[in-house]
Amino acid sequence: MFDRIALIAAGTLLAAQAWAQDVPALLKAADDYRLAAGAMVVDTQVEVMKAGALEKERRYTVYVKPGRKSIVLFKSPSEAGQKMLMAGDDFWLLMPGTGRPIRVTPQQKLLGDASTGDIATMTWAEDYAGTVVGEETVDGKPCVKLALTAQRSGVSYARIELYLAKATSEPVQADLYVASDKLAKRATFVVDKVDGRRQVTEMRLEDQIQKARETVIRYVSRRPKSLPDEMYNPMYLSRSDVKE
Amino acid sequence: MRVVPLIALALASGAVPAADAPEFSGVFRAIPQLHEARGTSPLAAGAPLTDLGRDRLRAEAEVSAKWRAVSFTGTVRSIALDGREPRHVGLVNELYVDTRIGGEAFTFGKKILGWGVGFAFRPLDVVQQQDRRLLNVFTFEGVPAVAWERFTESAAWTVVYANPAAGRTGEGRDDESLALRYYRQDASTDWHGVARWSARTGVQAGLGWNQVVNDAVQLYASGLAMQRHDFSRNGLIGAAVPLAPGDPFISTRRGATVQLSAGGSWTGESGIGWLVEAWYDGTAYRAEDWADLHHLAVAQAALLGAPGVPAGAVSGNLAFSTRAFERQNVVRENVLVRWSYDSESWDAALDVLVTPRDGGSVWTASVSRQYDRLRWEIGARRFAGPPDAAFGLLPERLVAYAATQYFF
Repeated sequence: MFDRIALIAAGTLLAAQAWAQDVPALLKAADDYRLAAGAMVVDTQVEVMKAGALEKERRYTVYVKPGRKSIVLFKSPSEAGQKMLMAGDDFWLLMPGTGRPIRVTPQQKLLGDASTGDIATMTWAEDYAGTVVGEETVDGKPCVKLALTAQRSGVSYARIELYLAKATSEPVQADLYVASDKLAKRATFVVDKVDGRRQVTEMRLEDQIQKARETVIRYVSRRPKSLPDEMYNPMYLSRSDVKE
Repeated sequence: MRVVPLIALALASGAVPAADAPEFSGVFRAIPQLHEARGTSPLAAGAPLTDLGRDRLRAEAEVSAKWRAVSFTGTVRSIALDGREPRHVGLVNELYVDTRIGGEAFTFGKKILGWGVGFAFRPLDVVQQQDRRLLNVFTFEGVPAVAWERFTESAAWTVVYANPAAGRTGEGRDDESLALRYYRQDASTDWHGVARWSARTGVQAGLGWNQVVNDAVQLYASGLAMQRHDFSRNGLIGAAVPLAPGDPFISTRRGATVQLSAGGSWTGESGIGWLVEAWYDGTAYRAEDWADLHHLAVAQAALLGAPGVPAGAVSGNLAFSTRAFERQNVVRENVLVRWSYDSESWDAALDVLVTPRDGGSVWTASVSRQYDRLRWEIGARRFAGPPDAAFGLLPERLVAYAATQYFF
């Protein structure tokens, strides 16, 4: 009897250890549904909804590069000319009509219409570590639940409870907690076949603080595109040839 | 127009690459402003000859376009002041080419060049100092220039030849000058170094530093030393007769001085932020200069109605004295404290600028709301201080505005 209990306990422990070892691989697999490896340019459309009605629509072009670097070009009429550079835990913003990139803190990065962190951060593997804490069914899909903690100070969310489809590691849901450990947003993901492979086509962010608010981020296009390293220099933001 | 040859030079070099389709954007703005005059100011009798204290309506359209490497921003503006004929102006804010020649990054044309560190006053903006405290200024006006830049991932060098062949002009920003900037990023710290030469100021050199301390806090400081500077003051101060038949302001060349600024900001998770900034501008008036101007204005105002003294001469001289306010920093020593709230749609800000040496202050409050393409903002600014303080002498007490912007 005690031998059987010990055997089961040992088996559970080994399984948990196996999951723990697999967390980076799971995150990498989940990341691949949002951003395939390498440098890319991603066009996104953001709809900010209030009580189910469209309040604002925003468009962004994001140049993403391995090493946690991205340049966000704001394309909507009310934001045209704004640019943001995110390089690791460091952030700079260029406002139109000023000619001067300014440093912003991680908290300032979160301000504004739609958090540029939500738009430009498309991977978890480089920023988070954690463990598998169980299995749950979300939206009828059997999922692995991961408890992730930020490994860097500059990320938008200090803690994430991430649900990945057990069979495919597709992202299904993510509960996003800010530094005060308040649940700020719940993200759900739509995965569809695009260009011959399954990719996240939509991320829906339900605001958990202002319950009537919801943000829908649609990934309109993804193309391989590598910008020279010098364009990720903050002072380059004031040049108009960022994307050429 | 000095910009056109610069653009032509870039185009002639064949360095304008083929790129995307033209991009256009723009904004319509309507900004009514109510101005309350300060009748107790000794300058009050001169204010009607100026724009001070007049209600006004400003309407403008700003258009930006980008085609290949050519960028353009222009503004057409109409301003109707109470009791005056409307004025209509057209302005090319920017018209420039950012391009590469032989692998090097060049800029030709009129471009906004901001190099400074800080929020309200940026000493390192040596090519064009931008008055950050003006109400409802949305897009600055660039400077005609040729610039060469070199970048690595964490460092940048810029050499600017501004206002080519202009020599020394009426305004410092229009002067021909040669400027150099060095920038370096070291993890969470930015370092800036600038140097500039112009006939007006001789050599200027400065350093700036900006560090993000943690998720919420950043600190910054910068300083600029200059070989010499121009100082403009009312020549009637100390004169036996307090009236002049024409513009009494005289400009003199003074020696070396410095501009210094330091500050920090905190931004919380809730969107609430605080900013404190203090600065010193050695080119601005001292509190004693304002006290002298106040004494002159009192003496001039006392002549109103005096036998044999034309009222127009008195009010004209008082009006000339309001030119003392036409400077980025009205007083040398300044402290700004700013509270702000930034949410997804609503923004609010309240700040106070204090000039501790003369006890003056400027209080500004604003609330704004952003919709999809529409943004409105209401705000007010109040000038306060003892009668001989700069902001107490200003013949205007309050400005209130409502700005509506529609983006297309």
